[in-house]
Amino acid sequence: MRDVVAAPGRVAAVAGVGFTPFSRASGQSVLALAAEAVAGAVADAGLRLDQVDGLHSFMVSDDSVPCVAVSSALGLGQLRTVLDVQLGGQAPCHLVWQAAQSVARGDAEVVVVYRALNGRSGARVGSMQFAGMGGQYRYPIGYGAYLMYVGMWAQRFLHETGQGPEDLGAVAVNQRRYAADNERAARRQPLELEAYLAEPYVVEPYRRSDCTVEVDGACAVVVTSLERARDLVHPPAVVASGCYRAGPRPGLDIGDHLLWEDYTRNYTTWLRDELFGRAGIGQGDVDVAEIYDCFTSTVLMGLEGLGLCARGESGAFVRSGATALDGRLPTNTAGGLLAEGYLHGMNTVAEAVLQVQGRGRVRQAPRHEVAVVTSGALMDGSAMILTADR
Amino acid sequence: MVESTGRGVVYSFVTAHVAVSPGYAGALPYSVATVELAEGPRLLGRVEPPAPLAIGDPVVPRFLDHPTWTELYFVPQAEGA
Repeated sequence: MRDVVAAPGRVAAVAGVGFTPFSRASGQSVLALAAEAVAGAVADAGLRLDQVDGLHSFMVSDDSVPCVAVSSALGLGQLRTVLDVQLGGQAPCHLVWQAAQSVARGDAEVVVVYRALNGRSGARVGSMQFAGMGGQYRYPIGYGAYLMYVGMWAQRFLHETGQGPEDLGAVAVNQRRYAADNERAARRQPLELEAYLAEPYVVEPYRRSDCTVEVDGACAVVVTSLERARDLVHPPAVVASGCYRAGPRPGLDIGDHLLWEDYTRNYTTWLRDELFGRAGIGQGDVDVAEIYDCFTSTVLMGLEGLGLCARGESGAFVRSGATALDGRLPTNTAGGLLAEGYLHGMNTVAEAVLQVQGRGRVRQAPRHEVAVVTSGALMDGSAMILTADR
Repeated sequence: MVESTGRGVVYSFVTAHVAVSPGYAGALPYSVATVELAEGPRLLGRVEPPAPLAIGDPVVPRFLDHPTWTELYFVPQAEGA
């Protein structure tokens, strides 16, 4: 095994994951969903609820419930750390890394990170108008949906890197193949490239299958010390490295990209060296990748941004089969946000944990000692490296 | 502050074929571009007509009066020269 240079203090690990079903209409409150996923993750790890002393979560425009509400609903004991952050898909790796730091410092022992939302039957982020000063320049001219902003970057990215619709389509096709074997996934029907190319545009360059599928549901992961995790039910997924990064001029709100210099490079380019450097590993050591994919293009940009592919070669990489289960770098092995469902990247983290723990079942990557996972699409985001215990 | 003629080129664009932007009552399809002005700064604006449009296309500014505000949009230079 490779040597991992961890953060100072204790090393932290993810010990368990929890999910509710993903649906179009949960019929439950967001609080009930959050409580179910948190309790599920704690039970999955083989811990008791009275051992939880930290909660971290995130929400977009108040579409979720605060940590204290979940603590009250579950009757937890005292909380020694909470974070309720106003972020979207940029948050999951950032929050797990913050939880790991709390555990490493000894501020808390068991921190659960969750995301819960009725993202289909309730407020839908895809058509949400974001608070902040940027909106006044966008909404009146019909530039008011997240897929337009990410699409604006995708168009430039494809142009500069010499890639096209077949490259986007290859991502959608690859992930649908994984989703067929994932009972939680919202889109399990197979997709062939010809059928993808025949789909009409929603917002060019995106077709329907380029876009995530909004769902109701919740997902949670449990962070504790590696020492404690070794005594629990499943093999620990060691939190070897984490990074958040907002590049220069990240905008007035999460949809305001106008001041960003280069639409072909997102936050992954900015955090790459620190992420891998802190973990003490190189890109060639990565066995599994879980790349944030609200849209197909962010997978390509993430693969290139992290240095897992050379510039302009991510599409060819995916088309070659490299990201399939029997390829060099199995990627988005649960079907991703594109096919499993839009839990804003919390499920992306959970899948990385399951892979490192060897719990991927029929979707288990053959080599799974090192996984890289990302959170976010544009100006800011976060990423993490999880490794098997040594 | 930068004084600008409003002329520029398309840095990138999207074309909406489905009504995804809440509150926008304009006709489909329509294109919104990030326009790089000749003087350097970038602006967001609709481009009329929406297609065909390509990155690098030169565009020139037009103004459209709405009841309570004035919209800056762009047209291809060939049509608006």
